[in-house]
Amino acid sequence: MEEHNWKSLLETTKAPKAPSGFKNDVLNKIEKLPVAQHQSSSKGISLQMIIGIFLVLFTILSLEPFLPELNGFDVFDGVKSSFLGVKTVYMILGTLVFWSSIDYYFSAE
Amino acid sequence: MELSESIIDRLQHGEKQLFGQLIEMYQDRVYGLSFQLMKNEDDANEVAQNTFIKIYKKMKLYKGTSKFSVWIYRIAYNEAMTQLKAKKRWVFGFFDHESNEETGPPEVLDQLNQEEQRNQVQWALSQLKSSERLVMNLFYMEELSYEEITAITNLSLANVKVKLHRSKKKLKHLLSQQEFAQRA
Repeated sequence: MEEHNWKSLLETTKAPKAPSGFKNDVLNKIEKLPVAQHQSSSKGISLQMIIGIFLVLFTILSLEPFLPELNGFDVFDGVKSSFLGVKTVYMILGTLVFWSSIDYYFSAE
Repeated sequence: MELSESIIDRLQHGEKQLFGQLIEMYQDRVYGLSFQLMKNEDDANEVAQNTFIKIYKKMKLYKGTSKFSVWIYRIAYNEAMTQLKAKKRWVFGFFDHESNEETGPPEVLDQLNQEEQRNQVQWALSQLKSSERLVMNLFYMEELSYEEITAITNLSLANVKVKLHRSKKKLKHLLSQQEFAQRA
């Protein structure tokens, strides 16, 4: 059989068509899809969470000189010493924010 | 027929209201492909619907390196394969989608007409394996190249050529058998 005849042969068969209402069914399903979680990383660490932790620690450290000691215990010295100093805390948080931003950028799709 | 590049571009830039146009243009082709692989209307409908939902979600990933229809067929093919694998698991391997339905040839009528011819060709096509029928349709009906069929089905180039050759040979044989039966 000639090559061009194969197409006409296949055309004689009734190609199944999408059922009526197919388009609306798909559009309805799409409508119900959950909104994409733009601000969350694929690894489950939220960018807001890291920024939030950063802001909380920044606030605590900024308020340090204005707050009294609690029952003789210097809370802020404890926090600072456990993080080996304020600069280290900022470096760790900065790295986390940077990593999270990169992660978010590549997982946005 | 393909969706214009400008509409694809607008869809990728978030104009989701144009998605209806995309569905209208490709729904029959995607459903047809799904039906060839799934062999029943309900499964084909599910596969076709899931395909469009995936297209909606992955629209931005289309880079334009292949025809848009080839990209869509690839998603539909993968979706059908996933469903077939799930079904095979469900029935513990007893369900074989590659096996042909053992149907007899259509009854020989005294008078040849278009409907009868259509039935005969359809019967002959139903005797082919899903993958052979799919390759034939993509090559002749959708007029895709060997390379494009390779991209959709993940088969090697040689395998695509072999399947096409084999299905034509089978069809010729089946149709000539019917012709012989009618003359007898």
